[in-house]
Amino acid sequence: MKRGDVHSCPSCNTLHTVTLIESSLIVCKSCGTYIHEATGDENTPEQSKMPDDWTFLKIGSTCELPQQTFHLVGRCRLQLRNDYKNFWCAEYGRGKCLWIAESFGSFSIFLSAWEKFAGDPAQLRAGASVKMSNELKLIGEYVEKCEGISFAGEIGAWNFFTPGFFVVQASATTKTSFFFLEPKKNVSFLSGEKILAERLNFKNTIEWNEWK
Amino acid sequence: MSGSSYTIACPKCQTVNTVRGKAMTLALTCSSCKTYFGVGKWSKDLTTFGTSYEPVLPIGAKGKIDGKVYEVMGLVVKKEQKYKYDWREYIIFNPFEGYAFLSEYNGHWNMVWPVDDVPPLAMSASDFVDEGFHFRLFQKYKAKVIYAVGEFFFDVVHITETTFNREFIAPPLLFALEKSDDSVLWCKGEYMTPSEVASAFQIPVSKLPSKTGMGYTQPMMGKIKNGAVVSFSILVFIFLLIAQMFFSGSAEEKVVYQGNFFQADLKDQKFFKTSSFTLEGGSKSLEVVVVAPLLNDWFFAEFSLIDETTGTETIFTKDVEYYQGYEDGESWSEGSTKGEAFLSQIPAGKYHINIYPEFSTSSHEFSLTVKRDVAAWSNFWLTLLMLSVFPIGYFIRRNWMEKKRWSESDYSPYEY
Repeated sequence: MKRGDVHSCPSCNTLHTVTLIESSLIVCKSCGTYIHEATGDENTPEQSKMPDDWTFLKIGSTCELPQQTFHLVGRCRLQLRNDYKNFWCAEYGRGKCLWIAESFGSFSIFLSAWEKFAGDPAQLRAGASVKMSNELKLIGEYVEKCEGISFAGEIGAWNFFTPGFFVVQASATTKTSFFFLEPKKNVSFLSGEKILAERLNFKNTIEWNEWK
Repeated sequence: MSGSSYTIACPKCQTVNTVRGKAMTLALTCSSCKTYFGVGKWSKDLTTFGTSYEPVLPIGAKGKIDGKVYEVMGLVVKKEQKYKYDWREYIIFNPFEGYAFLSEYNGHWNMVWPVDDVPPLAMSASDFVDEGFHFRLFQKYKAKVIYAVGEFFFDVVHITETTFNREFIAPPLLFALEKSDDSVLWCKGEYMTPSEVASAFQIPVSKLPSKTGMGYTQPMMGKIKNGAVVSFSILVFIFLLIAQMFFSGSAEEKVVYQGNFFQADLKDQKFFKTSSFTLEGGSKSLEVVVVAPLLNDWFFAEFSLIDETTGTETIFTKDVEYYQGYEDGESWSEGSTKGEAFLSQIPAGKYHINIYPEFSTSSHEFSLTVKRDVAAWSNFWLTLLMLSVFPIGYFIRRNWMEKKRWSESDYSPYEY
């Protein structure tokens, strides 16, 4: 789905205009139906209601940085066994996409696209060293099974793994990567940087005034 | 937690529980039957505890720490598996900050929160430096949850049983590592006084457990840091030294009288009288130096400094002793043949000194030198001694308390 395309919800006929240069999924804002064009080599996401949690971000929130403003247009929520991860899809620069991962007040930002992991998947363990390049070695922080995925809004390029895959996060100082492992299949990863929420300067967030 | 309409039925008694942490809550205890269970479809284990504990921070209570409002979500009581002591961990939550823990043991509290930035050496070394603080390994342990109540963002029972823990301290700070096959979680912590905890949650401090012994991250003497004490002491010493050097440099040290006295000259008189000498330049110090050629003997005299204009007397004494010998193959000596008396604030004028000597059997003579405007080092040393009391006391107490703190560790750098 390309920027400017208009898609009609197959369930309720609500029209949706694609804002990202490349969009892989739109969740109907009226009825929640997934609007997805399968490319043939990936899983079709199963529809799942977005759980209610205490995130203070929402679709429509913005990150106002000095040289660029990002608009949150979509959300992918991973329910892990002992954690959760919200991957917020942010649009900037007329349709470009980046990901902001959020969990319990901790944030990471991912500008690069999904990549295939060329290393040994056995490296992807908690406490183990993961060689990303000659210059960069990460340390595995955790391995968690993903028990559920929910989507909302517009989703940029995404690997639609079926729940049951494993998520590994590995980091070194501010560098961090998320690896998605489907048993006996390829390993995909996103690479980015950990960042403080204050630096992202979120606006138009959910106001939990009782917490301030 | 305001606004939550998220509910989950207890798999054991079917009571519908309102879940304050919404979808973030992954394990909880039933409000009715107290059974601990996970909310995910993958988690079927039900846990009941053979013990009970009333949280001193009520579940659902809100408290303000560092200007941020946290809500108490749950409490776990953990038991260490080797030494069998137990402690309490309250999990607290703020949507903007995430979760943290308030850990209490023997009435001592630590606020502990997950961190991303960990010193690289922390993974392997037994000590490391972070932001100027020297962290040392204090304990390694495995633990078990013996009681839980409330809500949790992870399966606290399973995770506690499967993790191996290491804690490093640099009071009032700590780093804690929870490591299992599946995760490596680093937390940082800081000691909180019971008053700070009580004030944060607006409960009387008397409701909190009484402090026993010394907390393993309890700071000594409030917020005073070793570096600050050392820096302050050095600064004071330098200041005193500069002041002393200034006054010494400007001292005139003028010899206003010098004379030799022999017992034979005393004849039937009881005292010697020096010739008159003049002291100039307002009120200044005076040093009287007595030298007696002694060997294994003593000399004593009483001196009377007399202002010839006013008749005012300043009386002082001086005892000079010098002994030496050879014993067990070593020579020794004690005392000196020279003695000084220091008089401060002597006004200008014409003076003489009456000397009332006491000669021993072998001492028969002495010399006297009187110096005007002499720098007094004794004041410097006395001031330095007084100002040293605090830093010396601080470090003695610090060492004693550190030893006491580390007596509960298997990794103490001290010997007992």
